[in-house]
Amino acid sequence: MLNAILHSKDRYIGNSQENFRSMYNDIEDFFTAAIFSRFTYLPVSEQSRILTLLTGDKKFLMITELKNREFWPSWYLDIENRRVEPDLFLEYDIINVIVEAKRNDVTLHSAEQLQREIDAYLSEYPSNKKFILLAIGGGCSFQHENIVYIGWKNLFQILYEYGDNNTKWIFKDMIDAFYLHGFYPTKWLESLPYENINLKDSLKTYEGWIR
Amino acid sequence: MKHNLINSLNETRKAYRLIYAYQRRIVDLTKYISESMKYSPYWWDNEYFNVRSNTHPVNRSAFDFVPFYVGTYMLFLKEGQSANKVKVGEGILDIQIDIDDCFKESKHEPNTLEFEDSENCSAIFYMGAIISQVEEEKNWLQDVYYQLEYPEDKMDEFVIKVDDKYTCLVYSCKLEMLYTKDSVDELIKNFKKEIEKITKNR
Repeated sequence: MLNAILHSKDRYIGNSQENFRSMYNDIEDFFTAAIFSRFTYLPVSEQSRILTLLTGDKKFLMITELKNREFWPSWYLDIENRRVEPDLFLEYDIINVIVEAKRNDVTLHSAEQLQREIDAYLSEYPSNKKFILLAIGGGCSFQHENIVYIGWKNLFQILYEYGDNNTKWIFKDMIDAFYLHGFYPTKWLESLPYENINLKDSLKTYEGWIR
Repeated sequence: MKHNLINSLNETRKAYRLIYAYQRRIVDLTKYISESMKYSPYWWDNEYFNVRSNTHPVNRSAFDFVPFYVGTYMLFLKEGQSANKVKVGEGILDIQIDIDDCFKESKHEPNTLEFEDSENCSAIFYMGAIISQVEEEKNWLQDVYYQLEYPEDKMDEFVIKVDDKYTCLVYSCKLEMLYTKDSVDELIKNFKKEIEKITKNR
């Protein structure tokens, strides 16, 4: 679907003026799925490296297996049958990751929602296994030892700079998805190209032209 | 003549591509600094040219179309801050990047052939902050920024000017000092430290 949209194979939906590209662009679920479905296709060693860079938690360097991947898992919150649905659950051998994503880096997370997801996770997976809730998008004033806040832009910059040659097509798809959603990598002055331009002569030539 | 012109057009083509690459980086630099300091975009304009005008290009100076050459200042307000109410501890951030400190303003149209050789000139990065010590029903741009007299900046130094209502902090350096993310992070860390000192000493 992502590549069909990138190559403008998307069509208008029914008789409306809306097309898949504009819908895709607006819906955070599509964006989250586009990035993280491909993320899980990477070798675990790559996932480990990226998660370490993202979170600063060196425990991620020790993961060796992705045992389970579930988009929008539905977990019971309490005996009143309320449920929560985080965006993604990644079950690694030594650490679990819950992903809750907002559409962009401006939209803030809700403290109540994040706490509910942690409570529901602990109810669903009552063990001592370490877990992280990766809250992607805008921040939140709610501080919890298991929550790491990151911006989509941070994730994009990491993927942009550290893509591996063996998995370059997976990285390319993820980068393309970011571009489609309006993200661009930060460029620093150290990468400014050099041009040898003969300024004086060119300025003098222009002085003699159409004056 | 035609041959020279073809060469000059080629040079200009190269120059435009280089200018785009340069402007891309200084916009990224400015955005990165403002976001790291938790300031949001507020206003921008240029000291010398009418860069914001909607007048048809044929009725304007060509200098209006090179806003990132010299004189453009970009202003930011602290996240969540109102533009029309001045509160204690809130502030305005001002970033300006001039690629050519040999630019000479002119009553008519500046003539770049009269400027010094570009090899003898510098690109300057400038950053300033105005922090309020008072609470007033004022507009940050019209009533504070445009009315205040900034202190004279000194290269590679933090300069502070305090009056009964506002504290101004300014810093400038050659742009090449900010060529990597690490060097930019170092500047942000030091600038934040200076702002903390200001707010503590109130």
